[in-house]
Amino acid sequence: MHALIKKKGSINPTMVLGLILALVLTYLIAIPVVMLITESVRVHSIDVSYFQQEEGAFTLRYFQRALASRVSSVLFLSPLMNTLVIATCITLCTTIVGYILAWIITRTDIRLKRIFATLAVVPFMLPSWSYAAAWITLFKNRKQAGAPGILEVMGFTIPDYLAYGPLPIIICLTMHYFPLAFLMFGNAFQRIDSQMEESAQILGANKLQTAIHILLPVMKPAIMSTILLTFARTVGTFGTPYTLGRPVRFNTLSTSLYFTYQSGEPGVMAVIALAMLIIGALLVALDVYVLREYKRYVTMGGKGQMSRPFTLGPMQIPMNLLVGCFLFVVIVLPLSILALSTFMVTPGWFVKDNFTLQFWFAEETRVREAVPGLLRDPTLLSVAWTSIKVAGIGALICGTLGTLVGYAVVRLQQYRLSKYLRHLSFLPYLVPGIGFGAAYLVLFATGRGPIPALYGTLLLMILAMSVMYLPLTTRSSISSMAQMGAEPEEAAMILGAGWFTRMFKIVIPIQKRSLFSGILLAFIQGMKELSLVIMLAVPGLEVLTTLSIRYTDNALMQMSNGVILIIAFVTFLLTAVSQRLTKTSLAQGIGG
Amino acid sequence: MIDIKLEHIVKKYTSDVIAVDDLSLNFEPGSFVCLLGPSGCGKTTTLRMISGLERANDGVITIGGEIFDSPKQNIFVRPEHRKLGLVFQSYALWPHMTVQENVDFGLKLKKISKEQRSRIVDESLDLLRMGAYRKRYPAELSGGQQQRVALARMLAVQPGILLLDEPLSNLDAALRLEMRSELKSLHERLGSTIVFVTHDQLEAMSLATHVAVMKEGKLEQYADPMTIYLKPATEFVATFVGSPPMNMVGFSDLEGQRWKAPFKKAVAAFIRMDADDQRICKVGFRAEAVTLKRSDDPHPLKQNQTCIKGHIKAVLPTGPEQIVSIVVDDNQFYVVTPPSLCFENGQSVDMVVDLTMIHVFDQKGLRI
Repeated sequence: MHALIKKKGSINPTMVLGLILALVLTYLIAIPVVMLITESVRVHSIDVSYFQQEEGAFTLRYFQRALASRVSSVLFLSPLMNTLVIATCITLCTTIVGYILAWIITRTDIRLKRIFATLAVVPFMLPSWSYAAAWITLFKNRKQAGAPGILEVMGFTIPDYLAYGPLPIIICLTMHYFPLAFLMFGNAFQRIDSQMEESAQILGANKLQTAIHILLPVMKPAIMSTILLTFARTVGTFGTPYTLGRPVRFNTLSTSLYFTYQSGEPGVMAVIALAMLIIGALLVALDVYVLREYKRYVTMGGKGQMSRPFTLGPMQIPMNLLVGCFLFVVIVLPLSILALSTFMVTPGWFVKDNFTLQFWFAEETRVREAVPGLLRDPTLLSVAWTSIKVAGIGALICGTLGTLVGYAVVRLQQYRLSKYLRHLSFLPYLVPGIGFGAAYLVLFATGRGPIPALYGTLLLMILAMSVMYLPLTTRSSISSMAQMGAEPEEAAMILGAGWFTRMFKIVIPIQKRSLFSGILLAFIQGMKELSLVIMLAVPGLEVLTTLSIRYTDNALMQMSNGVILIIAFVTFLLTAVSQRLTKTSLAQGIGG
Repeated sequence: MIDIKLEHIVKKYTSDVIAVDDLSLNFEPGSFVCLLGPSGCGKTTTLRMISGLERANDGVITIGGEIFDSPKQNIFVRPEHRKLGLVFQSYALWPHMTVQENVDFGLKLKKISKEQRSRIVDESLDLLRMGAYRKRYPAELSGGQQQRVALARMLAVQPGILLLDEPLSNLDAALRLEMRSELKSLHERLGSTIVFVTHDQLEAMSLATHVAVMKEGKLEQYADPMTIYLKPATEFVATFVGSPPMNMVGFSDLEGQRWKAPFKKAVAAFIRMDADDQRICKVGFRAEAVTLKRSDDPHPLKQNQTCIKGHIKAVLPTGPEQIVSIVVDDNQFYVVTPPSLCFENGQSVDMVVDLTMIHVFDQKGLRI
């Protein structure tokens, strides 16, 4: 009895946990955003003499420079336009590709479902700019420094619009992001009761009428959230526009943000980052609105779903071929191009002498600079180790924090604190990565109160990483906590277990699997993260992804591609291990 | 008033999974037919073949004198052209439409004028007492209300045939009873042919004019409910229908069960067969065929009665009566008695079986 009736004035440990989490998350998520606002209207030390104002004084000159000056078109306005146009196009393309592919794999009697479903997720496990790297390896023309692309070497002349700029960016990022749409639609299709379509059919609706009046509206919530998520991701992506846009001075907000940071314009950088966060905030608001709007009917379903596949009939073989070819083009082709290039002095020149192992194994490559081959390079090893530390520790923190937040959100449901924690921890989900990186840069550039300056430290990268992927672990934790219910804990309470005993002997052991898979997922994402860390990396503190970009900067295409392959290898390996250990996979259930 | 004729229907999902095996059934116009059987017996598949959502591999389906499905003649009428109604177990209401829009959808497809449509929608919703909820979304309704809307949606298009796939199984007991009487009175008012799938034998008994009992894709018996109950054609029907289940005595294993021989003898004498006849494989009697007496109470057996001695295991009162479970060696029997009779656990009792109410089955499980 004593466990159930709380003594007056005694402290509820869950509430304490909730308050601590709220404090931590406010500092790590809300404050950086606020900081960006102050940074964009405050005179920076670098501009003191130029502005003739004291450091820290209020100024609107950064806004003026970004929005209404001779350089505003270059710095902000055209990057903004480019970003919006590209993000719109990519979102449209990935949504259509993902929808069609998910429909084919979940709703028809196509063969090899499970294999297709597993393969369709692979592009998302590659670093986001892998496609850009493969593209440039194939299409790069002679106007740029370094080895020309394979096609040029083979004698073709590649026009600029095909080699660089918006068109290749859209194609490459569509290839990278369509698995997101595929996963979301695949899961949604799986949940939809096919009897809803059959009811319409019974009432006289043909296939087209059923698709338009029943299936599409029912899928609308999934479509909306896919659009929002893809849009947010593409706004925040850095590697691809950097690789493919820079040669023709095609800038997006993310690359412009990076260049202003590089050229020492912290004020303008804050303005651009702020713009990205505003886009993110708009997306979050839209997401909340959409969810509320659809809430009245998204709760439906869950029972009696007998999925009867659509019979392809004579289309069976062509459809299999089509999906197979598509997956070949988005997986095998780019990876082969990347791999092939690392074994050739001049990629595309198919003569015996041109093949080489030096980029991997030479003590000193002879090509352009005297750098050692990748596997002989002590820097690579230390950078890889940093990557593992950042992603690994970040994922651990992220998983722990996510589990605690999930616990607090579910157990404190009746309080407003629960809502605050949930919304705050979801925020990074739709906030562009590079904008978030910039915010962290600003927040931790100098010491504030008890918190020291963390700029240029491993800790900052780890912190940023664990916050960036918090939505991943929090979401899975909330749903599995809700699924677990309060009963296991209550049973322990009846038997006299205190809060900490319950936490460590009941809650965490039950949540072990979801916790573990959340951590692994965050780890995998962290290993290939670029947008976030590009702002936080400094000479001497690099991770694999930033190293690859440095090689690109130095026109060492083969080395850059090699690093991408190493990252891909590590993420594939981790994915395979996690699937073996947790017996779950991203595409689970979609392939039937 | 439309009739349905199934002739030698076969449905295979894969070459070795046969869902429906040579099924022939005739549903008379205006009848309320129940397809009854355990899950996986092919009853839902049969319903889906009638609706056209599934195609038969062999056989002929004729509805209202017109062939709708005949693989041999290469005839298949698509479900959207069959003009029938089908209510699913999950109701499958469209969550993005209000109640009114759900009901209106089928009418819109029929290109009926707006005024007429709104009149029909009103009528259908009023018929099922859902008029007050027309603006609500399905997620805002209770299970029973959703069920009514699912019915209204199909009734609005005035189908000659209404197919129901376990429509009551997601409802709680009280609501289920209410919806049963609603369905029955609806059938009487509309007069359309209704085919109803269920695994609940009580539901089948109380609703249907005809019951088709199925097992493993095959028809076991097709008759009116009372015949199914009183004269089960097979051992399976006998045990599947009725609650508590029919008591069964098998004679294959007589080892250590000395009471079985005299029982078999009495049964054989009653049906005028030889007690050694191998065809008498199992004998069943329902709980109400037994009168229970205390063993220490003298009770001379009347004609057409026989007696089995056993011990009380448990007494389960249900209110108006009580179910008494009795053990005889390793066998367990159920007997229904008035609640006024008092028994104690372990007490010796005599089960007096009325031989006019027994059912005898042969090795194949067929009624003798």
